[in-house]
Amino acid sequence: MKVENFIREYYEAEISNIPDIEPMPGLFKQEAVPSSHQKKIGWEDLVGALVTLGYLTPLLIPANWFSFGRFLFMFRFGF
Amino acid sequence: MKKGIANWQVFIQSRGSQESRSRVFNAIWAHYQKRLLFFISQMTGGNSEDLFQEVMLKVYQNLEKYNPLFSFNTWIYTIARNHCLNHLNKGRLPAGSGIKAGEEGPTEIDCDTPEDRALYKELHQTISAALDKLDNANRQIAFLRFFEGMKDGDIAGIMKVPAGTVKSRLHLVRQTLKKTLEEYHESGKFYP
Repeated sequence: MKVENFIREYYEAEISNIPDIEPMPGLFKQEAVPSSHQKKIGWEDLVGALVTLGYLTPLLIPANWFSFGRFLFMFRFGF
Repeated sequence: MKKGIANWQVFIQSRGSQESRSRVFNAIWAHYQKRLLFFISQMTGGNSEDLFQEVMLKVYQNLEKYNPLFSFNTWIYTIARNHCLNHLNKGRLPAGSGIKAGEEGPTEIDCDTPEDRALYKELHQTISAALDKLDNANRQIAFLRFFEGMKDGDIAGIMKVPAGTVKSRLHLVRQTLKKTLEEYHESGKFYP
């Protein structure tokens, strides 16, 4: 038997002797997840979606040079 | 679950509902609780259970950040190691050799005769003493290689050292342990 196998057996014996551990209370609950990681849709997201739609809808109907110019204009001045 | 948790299982379920997140975390807990606690205790010594709970909380909070293209095993051990290093750097815990099965060695032994049992216990204590002689980093490398069966590259990623360094350290660990276990060369059953 190789040294590696001896050591693995040693580790297995040591680890199997460790008693089970219970998770600390509340670990599995949503509160344990920081708010920055929780997915919540706020009013800012809705306003953002509406404004984006407002910009994009004229570009889609009708697709002509006027709407394309407006599209470029949007990037120049930000509105 | 010899090989651990499937990378994609963690990736997909951690992005699902709260129930699926809890389910995958339960599986992670069941698989890693003892081995991670042992690893942490090897690194820090002292009261490692609190530290283990903190590590698992960190794992739970960061499950969504896990990239399934990399091994989950490597990811979780990296978190554990970094967390322990932070604690050690802050001087909260002394570095030690960690959990021990006790002076008598392991409680459950698969030996037929009392002689075998005595020899096994003696061997167990010898290995324990040999591992204690290694420095902290080499002890971690020995655990990750011999117990977890990780490759040099994965260990290097966890330890933040080049793969060549891991190789040379493993060689040193093997030589040290071989020297210590030399007296068992003759005993047929344990070292044929």
